[in-house]
Amino acid sequence: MKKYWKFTSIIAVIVLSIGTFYVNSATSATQYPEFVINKKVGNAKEIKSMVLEGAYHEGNSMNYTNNQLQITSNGSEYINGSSLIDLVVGRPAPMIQELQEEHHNFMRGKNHNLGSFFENAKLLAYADVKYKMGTFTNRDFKFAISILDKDDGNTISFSIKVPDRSVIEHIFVDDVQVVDNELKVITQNRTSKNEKYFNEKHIYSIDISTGKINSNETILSIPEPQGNEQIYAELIQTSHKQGDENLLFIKTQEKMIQEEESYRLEEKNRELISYNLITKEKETIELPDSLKENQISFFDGSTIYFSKFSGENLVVTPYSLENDQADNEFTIQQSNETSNEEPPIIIMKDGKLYVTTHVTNLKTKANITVIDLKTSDTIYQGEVIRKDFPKSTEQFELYLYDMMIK
Amino acid sequence: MKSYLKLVNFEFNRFAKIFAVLLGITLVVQIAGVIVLSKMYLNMANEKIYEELMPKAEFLSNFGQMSFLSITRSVWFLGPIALCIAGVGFYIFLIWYRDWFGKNTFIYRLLMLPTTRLNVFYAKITNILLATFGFVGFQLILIPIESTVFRWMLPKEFRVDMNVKEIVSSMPELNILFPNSFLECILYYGAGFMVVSILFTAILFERSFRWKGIFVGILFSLVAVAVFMSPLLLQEFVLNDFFYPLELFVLEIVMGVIVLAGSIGTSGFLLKNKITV
Repeated sequence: MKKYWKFTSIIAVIVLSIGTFYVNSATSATQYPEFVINKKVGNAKEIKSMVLEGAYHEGNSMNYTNNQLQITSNGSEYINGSSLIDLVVGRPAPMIQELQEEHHNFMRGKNHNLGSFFENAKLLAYADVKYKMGTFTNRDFKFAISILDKDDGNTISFSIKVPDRSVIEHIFVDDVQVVDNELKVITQNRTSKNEKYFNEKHIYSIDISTGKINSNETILSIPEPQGNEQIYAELIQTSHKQGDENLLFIKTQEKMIQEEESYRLEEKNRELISYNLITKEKETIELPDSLKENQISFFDGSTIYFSKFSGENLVVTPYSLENDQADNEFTIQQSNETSNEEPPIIIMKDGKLYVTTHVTNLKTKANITVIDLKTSDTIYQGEVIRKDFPKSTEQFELYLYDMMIK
Repeated sequence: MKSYLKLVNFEFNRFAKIFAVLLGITLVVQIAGVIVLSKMYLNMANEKIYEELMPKAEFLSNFGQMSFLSITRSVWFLGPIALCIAGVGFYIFLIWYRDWFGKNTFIYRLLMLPTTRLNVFYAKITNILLATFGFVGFQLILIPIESTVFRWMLPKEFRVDMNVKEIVSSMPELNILFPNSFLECILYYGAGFMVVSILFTAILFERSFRWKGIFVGILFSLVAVAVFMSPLLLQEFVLNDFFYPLELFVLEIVMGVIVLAGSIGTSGFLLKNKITV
């Protein structure tokens, strides 16, 4: 045995040291604080179906951690995203995950852009734009369309050339809708004509049965401004699980203002444009002056919800597209002075308005409010708090970035 | 099995001297680094607090406490690790060529042993793996010792204490050497094992056909890499992202095993039929 001593001792060292390391790291896994929703007013049942998503981080610069977690009425759960398998699988949006589980084969080779999908009781439609990457420009833009018939499980797939594609520099699918056997693909295009660049919003109508493009409408065409101005148009996304009659675009004009060492963007002008997919009418919405400064927080297809902080209050104003007028506003009292300008997360579902602010830390707490839209009553109010009481020196922040109502 | 173990032990004893020297360098340089760097920090603190009469609290808020990270990010710490990595990389070639070019062509005796010749290959590749794990294990023992020295050097209010796990996971560059989980460990070291076996096969090609063998060896390595990457290439250029990420991941593991088996098979064939002394 004597001549084996080097060999045996190195094996022993390896097994012991690496073994201890893994046993220790398994048992001493870092514990992050739990968060709970603390009810203040109303019925806790109202938030049973609510899921909040956020990131927790500790402010100590030496030990910077950023961890994602989900918070429900039952408490918080950290999303373990650091293992190799989690990294490989990635974390597509919940709706994409559901679709992948339900339609495993259909979802092969589809991107994870929520806007590319449309789902109703009968069908699941998908549209994307494929192109060849060139050295200086991208070429050969083609729509790749797939439609799954949910009744018989058949999939139709076809691709069509994008019309007028010679002027297109880039194209991105914002949204897909199906109206009367017609697939509407709403896109953001960047085009160049005679050395001038335009940002455009298009709606391409594609006949599902023949696979031909019926029409190509330009909703907005904005020349790229010179100098220190910026103009951009956005489509306000609604839930991807419903068909929409109305599309809502915001055109924002901003000016860059140079300050001492940085730039600041100042909003100069905002225009809201609605487009009806059935009547094909485009309309610019004339907002009352009182709403001009407010943030657009949510759009459900027929009503826009504006929000604004004023002191300790958050004011939410619904604006109906049908009647072209603002309804009664809701004033929600916050438990603390809200210094952050960031608009809250607002969701309207089944006649209830859910409003959540973003941050819980030593000074502020994220507020949750549920309002019954029929009676305009606040039926729930609560805040997201840390379960254990933090030591006063310990800097931490919970930032809520998403809310879902299941 | 017994002759395999004997061969492993035999090979290890031949490597033991270089191994011990590298461990010694690591030990000395890293501990010297801990002492030098914390002394430098202390000197700076002394200068600021006693000569420039800066209050302690202000010093701490301006310069911060010293953490073990400023040591692990220094050449004192990373240098020896790089040296050991280079040592293993060099030894992958030396482990074969010393048998031909050392004193009295040793490979002759190795090949004459009354056991399958592939055991020589296995023994050598096991030794490379053993050396790597040996360095990693030694480093894991060394870190707690170094943090003890670090604690002796600095008073409590000037330092941030970290445990081994925190220190290791704060060096993402070294994550491949100290994987976070068992699965990652198997995959990373498995991939390394595959690469070493491809290199061994290339070396054996050279030893079998000399100059021509170098080209064959390079060609073999390229083919092995191409086969290993083939699912990724197909996914990207032919199949339009047909596979889900997890399916692709499993396919890659399967391809890795195939390449490893192919490389060992080729080496066995070369050792048995083509090798020249």
